[in-house]
Amino acid sequence: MRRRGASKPVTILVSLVIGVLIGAVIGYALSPRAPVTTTVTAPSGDLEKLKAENEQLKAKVEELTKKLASAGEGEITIKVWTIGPDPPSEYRLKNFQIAADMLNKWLAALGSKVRVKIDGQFFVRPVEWGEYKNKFYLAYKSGKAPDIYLTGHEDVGFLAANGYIIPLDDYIKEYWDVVYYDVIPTLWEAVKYQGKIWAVPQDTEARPMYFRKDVLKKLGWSDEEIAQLPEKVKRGEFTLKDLLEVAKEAVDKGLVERGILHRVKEGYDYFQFYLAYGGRLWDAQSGKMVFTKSAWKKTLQWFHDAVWKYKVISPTQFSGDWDKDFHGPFTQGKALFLSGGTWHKGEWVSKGLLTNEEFNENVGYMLHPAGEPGKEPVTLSHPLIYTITKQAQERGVADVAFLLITLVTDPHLNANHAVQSSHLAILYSEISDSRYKKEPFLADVAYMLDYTTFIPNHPKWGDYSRIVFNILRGVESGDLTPDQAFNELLNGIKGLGSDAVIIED
Amino acid sequence: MAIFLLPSFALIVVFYLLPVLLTLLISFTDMDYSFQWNWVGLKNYVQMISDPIAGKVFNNTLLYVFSTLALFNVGAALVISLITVHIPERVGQGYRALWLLPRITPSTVYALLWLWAVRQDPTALFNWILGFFGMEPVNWLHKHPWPIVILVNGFVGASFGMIIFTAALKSIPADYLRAARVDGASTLQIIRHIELPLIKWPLMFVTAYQTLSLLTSYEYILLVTNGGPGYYTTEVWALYSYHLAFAQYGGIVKFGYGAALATVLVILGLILSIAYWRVFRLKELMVEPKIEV
Amino acid sequence: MVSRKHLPWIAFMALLTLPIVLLYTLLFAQSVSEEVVGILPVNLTLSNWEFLKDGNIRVPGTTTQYYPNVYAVTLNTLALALTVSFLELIFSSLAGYAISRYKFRGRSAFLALALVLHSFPGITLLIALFYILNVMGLYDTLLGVIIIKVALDMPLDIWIMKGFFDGISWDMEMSALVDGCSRLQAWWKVVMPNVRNGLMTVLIFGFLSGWSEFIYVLTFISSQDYWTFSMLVYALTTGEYSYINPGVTSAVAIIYMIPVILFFLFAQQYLLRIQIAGKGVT
Repeated sequence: MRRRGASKPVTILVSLVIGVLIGAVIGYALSPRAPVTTTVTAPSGDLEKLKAENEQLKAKVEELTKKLASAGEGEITIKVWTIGPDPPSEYRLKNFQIAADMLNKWLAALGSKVRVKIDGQFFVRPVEWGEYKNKFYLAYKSGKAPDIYLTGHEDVGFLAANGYIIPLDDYIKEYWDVVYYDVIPTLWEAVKYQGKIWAVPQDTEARPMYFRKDVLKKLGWSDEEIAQLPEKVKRGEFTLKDLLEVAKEAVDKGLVERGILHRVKEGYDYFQFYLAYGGRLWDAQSGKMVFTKSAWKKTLQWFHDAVWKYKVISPTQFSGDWDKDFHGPFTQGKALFLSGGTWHKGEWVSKGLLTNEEFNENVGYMLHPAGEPGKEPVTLSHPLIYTITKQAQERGVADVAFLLITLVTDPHLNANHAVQSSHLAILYSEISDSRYKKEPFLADVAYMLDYTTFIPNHPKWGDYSRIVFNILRGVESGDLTPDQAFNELLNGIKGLGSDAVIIED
Repeated sequence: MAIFLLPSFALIVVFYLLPVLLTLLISFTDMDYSFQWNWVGLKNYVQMISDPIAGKVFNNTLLYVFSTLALFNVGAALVISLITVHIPERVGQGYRALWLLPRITPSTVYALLWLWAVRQDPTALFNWILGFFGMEPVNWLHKHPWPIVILVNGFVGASFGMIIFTAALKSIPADYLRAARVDGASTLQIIRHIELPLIKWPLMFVTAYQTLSLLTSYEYILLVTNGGPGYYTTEVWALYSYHLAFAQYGGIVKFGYGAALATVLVILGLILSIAYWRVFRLKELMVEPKIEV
Repeated sequence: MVSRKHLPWIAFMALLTLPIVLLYTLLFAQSVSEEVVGILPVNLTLSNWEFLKDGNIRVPGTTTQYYPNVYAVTLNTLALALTVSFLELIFSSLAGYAISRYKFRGRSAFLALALVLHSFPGITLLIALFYILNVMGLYDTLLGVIIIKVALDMPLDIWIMKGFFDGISWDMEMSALVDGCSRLQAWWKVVMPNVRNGLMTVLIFGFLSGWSEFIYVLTFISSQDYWTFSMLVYALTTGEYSYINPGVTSAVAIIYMIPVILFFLFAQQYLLRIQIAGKGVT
């Protein structure tokens, strides 16, 4: 092929010149950014207290640190990924930095030249759970997974089944007497899959139905009646129907703009209404999820009535905004009820929407009421868990990672997190921690754990949840009648296959 | 020689042709974030046919494409071109420039403006205007999602046809029009009997071209209603595919099923693209080089 | 020379175009006031622009930074837009020149491919592109988005550039050579000035296409470190922590609009050419 002599070198020359010009730009585009890392040094008080509190742990740790020390010198980096997405939950990561600091002091005391370093990330909004998890799967795929990965317990099934994480039974057995005996036993149920333990609980919470005491007072309730409301709910004497009626009264009298608020985006809270109507989510025996037809029918009818008959939930709640349609109206007293979570209290206080005093004065909290007389009130818990990835094992740092998890599973450190973010204790001894005890809210909601349900550790749970969410959106907007909604829901769930879901009447 | 074509050719192969093939292949798997190639045969396609949501989304897509096309991408485009070539040029040009603005505005900003304009508060633009007529404020996105979606897309979409029609209208020899005027034809008669017949080809081209564009576009819908409100009210085919693959709470993704939905569009896109190439004689543009070197 | 018979048509056009004018007025009114009623600003203020001081957008009542620094976002967006436009310029002028000047086997096949792909919607390939980026380790990098943008715009760019090279006659180059120019000089003095319009078109098209890109950034970028303006505006509009005053959002949006407005005012002829040659989004 003939070519025109000059054009090629000239083109190359010109390309080169332009190339140099844009080189800087590309260079900028490609240069790695410093990861968002918070450096925290442990207050020495923390360290003293810890050391005093846990001599036994120290012995165990010494054993392992000796093993580490014999490894010679160098730095062992443990990559930890955690998420809020609420900012007050930052101790999910900070505690690791405190623990590593402590561990390094021990190593120094033992004369070892090995040091442990935390390469940590704590994600906050606008990064949401879905995005966080996606990032993990992608990082895993490219071999850059964290060693310790914080996630929701419902992922245990999926993560274990696909080989992302390693079982921890042997470790937990080994360290049982150090700290794990102290873990509130129901939490272990949340981290099991196919008979094995795959993770260590990090925190848990309850999802209360918050109410405005000041609004109830204006409705003519006495202080006594208001104080008794949570108790009445507990006994099943105040049902979801009563909730609608009280809310309607408040709206009709113009005391509030909205009767009941619920989250504005996808989430698991909606299942509480189904549970309140006696629905089952999980069949432990077969390891399958459950679809209780009668309970779903009533649940869909309740949501329909709440929006269209009682007009206490806005038909646009699902296309709403977190601040304008959730936090805002409730904290300003423009809504009576809010189906939320314990951590919302932490958010309101830290964001300055309510002071602690205002909260205690005007806000009450109770279980989600029973669907109808004779049924039980409910709440839902979604324990977060620390897992160790298979890539940590392949890198040979699983031992160290587990040691760190053991160190942060500590009454004092975990109380750092629980108190600041309004989550519930995972250890019995944590409940007696002085700071935890100073938080009446946390003590007050502790009883709710007796009424709690976990969401299923099933690989297809995300599908179940999503189908429900879309249907509920349709019911509230008026696109679907309760009957249509039920049929669509049933069809959708049937599509997940009978090996995933048991459909019962 | 090779160095001239290599970069663009390599890019086109790796990021255009290979993805076409990959989309097809992924649609035969149940791939998720574990990125495993579990072949499931035609399962995703069977699911597509029996999926009631896909049915609804299909109808939505037809509604979206044809109303936007008729009202704006062809309809308004034609009206604007005809009017602006018949009024003084400076004024006409000004109007056409304004209609170009939405298209070159970044989509997130443009969508933001609409979201503000249609808010439910009485002070929001739409309701404020209603207020002058003594009407109650309306939650537009909730009550009338489709008109809003069509308006949002239409104000962007009209400019493409507008430019092409205007160019075609301006290329009509002035003698034709002058002769008609001398014969006493009114402006409407001129439009009806001279101009419209002469821009038949551009009309067909714009219609065909924009049909494909609208079928596969979902950016503004994602930004304005994200398929809502309620139960897949404004979800269109391409957006459904996007949601299945990339927007799941809790990280559950369906690349396989999403790819099956995308495959429908890819195949449609290929067929239409080849058809345009033939019908609109783009081949004539492929003249051999004038210079032998 | 606006005659009376034109008036009704001008008025009709004004009505039709009014929504556009109102929308952009709203944007500007919002950015300089505490509140907007319709399009009328209430309580003029410059406080919405205060974030320009250090680039940090603050959520009232918190100290945590939820949003990346505006200046970092600006640099990211510029990096994306400039790289996309320069790469498109280089690759498409290389290919356009070859197709215009050389006769080679596969030439018509290549051109046919470019023409067919030119109307083919690349957005439908999102899932497969995601897979490819991930295999190449380019997920969550600006480079990944850049490469995809360049590749998907390439057929159009080639078509534009080829047209411009076709328009220059060989005679001109030849006569320059006869006049004693070297090959280099002929190319620089004769070929380049004649395709300047084409180069500008491709540059502006590439710049705006990178500057405004939303879907690929949304899908292929997850770190805030690599956010561009489109993500920032999107997050300010929809984020869970949207305590952000609409005035601040509109100020950010206006900054984002600056290059667009400049091109709109001073380079409309190129924009029109892009539109004629280009595939419309909708």
